[in-house]
Amino acid sequence: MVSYPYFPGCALSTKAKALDICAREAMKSLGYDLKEIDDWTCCGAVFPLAEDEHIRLVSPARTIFKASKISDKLVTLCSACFNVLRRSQKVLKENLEKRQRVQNYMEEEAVENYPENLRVIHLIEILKDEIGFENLTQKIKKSLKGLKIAPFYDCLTFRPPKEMEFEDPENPRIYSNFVTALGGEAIDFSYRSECCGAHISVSNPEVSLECSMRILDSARRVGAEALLTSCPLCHYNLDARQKEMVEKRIDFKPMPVFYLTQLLGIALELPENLLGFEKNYVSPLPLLKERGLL
Amino acid sequence: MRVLEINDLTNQNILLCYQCQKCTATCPVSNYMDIKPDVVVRMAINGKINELMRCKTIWLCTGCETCGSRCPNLISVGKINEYLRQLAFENNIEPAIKPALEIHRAFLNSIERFGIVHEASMLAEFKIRTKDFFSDLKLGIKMFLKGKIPLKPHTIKGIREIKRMFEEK
Repeated sequence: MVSYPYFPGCALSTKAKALDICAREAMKSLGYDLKEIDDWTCCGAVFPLAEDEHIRLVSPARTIFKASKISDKLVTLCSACFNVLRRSQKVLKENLEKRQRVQNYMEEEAVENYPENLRVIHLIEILKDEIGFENLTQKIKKSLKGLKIAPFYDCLTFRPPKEMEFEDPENPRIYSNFVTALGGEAIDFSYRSECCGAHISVSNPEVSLECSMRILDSARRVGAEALLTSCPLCHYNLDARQKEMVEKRIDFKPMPVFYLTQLLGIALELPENLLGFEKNYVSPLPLLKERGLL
Repeated sequence: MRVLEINDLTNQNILLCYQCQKCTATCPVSNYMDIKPDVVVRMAINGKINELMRCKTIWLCTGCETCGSRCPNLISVGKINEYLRQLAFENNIEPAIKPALEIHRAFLNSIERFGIVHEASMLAEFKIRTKDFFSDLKLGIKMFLKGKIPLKPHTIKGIREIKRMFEEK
């Protein structure tokens, strides 16, 4: 059993519980123990874009320091947390002046030895780089054969590419390869890396509804049966708000939106109560039952 | 010079912009903006800061960074928008889209109080601040019933460090 510190984040402990529970259980059956960091705080939610803004780096620095006591890797799953933690770590590693300023707000222990070599990684990176998608295919118990999944590439995991150093946001493949590894059929669609409307669904619900609807329409046009995402905010916009889309347009057909870890959970035959489908607005159960996957 | 200050604080050279308008073409919400992203850059270069601080655009930007990653000169309009939002806030200028600022406030207050976000009280505060109680009520109740919005907040142990951060800010 390999043990990694794990940062779930605020969203995963409330509205995206389905993403969290499956992740822990699925990884356990693959031989990885995700150890939740003791007493974590909010990741900072938004990476500070202004150069003179240092205070917002304190929260991620605190988390990164805590993780370094367990391992030299920190695993996270929420796209927003991943974005903030990865970018913050890059800045704190490369910019000594900023690091010193941030350290003024931390315990003494953290000032003396800042873990500059710690890497913040996304859960999918364990699957891709450590286990390997080919080996994953060997390890799954049930193939998702025939399921047409459109992987949606959220902004936060991929952009800005120079700072995230993850994958080219113009032609991302990682989730498609993941779906293929699980035996499903990955469907590429033109709006796969378009913004879902993000947080403006609170201040400008109409605008973000339009953005999310475009994405779902685009996926349906090329024959997708369900969408895949790993971002809790995208999931809210693309799944929960389908209720409004149906009200807005009569011909709109709801489409289930899976979390990355839910698909992994199905393929690893986790018990149904751990998959958290009751938390999806558009229930994927009819589709899964029709294909004999549940 | 204002443009040098923007360059400094956003860590990019906005003077490189040659108005190819790729940012506007690529922005997912540009058709709702009153000043399009490429015009924001041009106006920022020309020092039209007062108008920019009062426009809807800066509060509509989702920060998806599509503009920044596609710009041939690596200019992120999102970063300029962030600079303008902060400037507007410091100068007490009422945002063109009021709820945008209120949700930021409610979010930060929740972090200050508990160390992590507690959605029930955060959304309650947002509703009180915007005096709009009924718009998402149905969805809110549904989310609550699905166990997505727990009522009881959880406070972290290191809340003192967090409080200090807010005090010194």
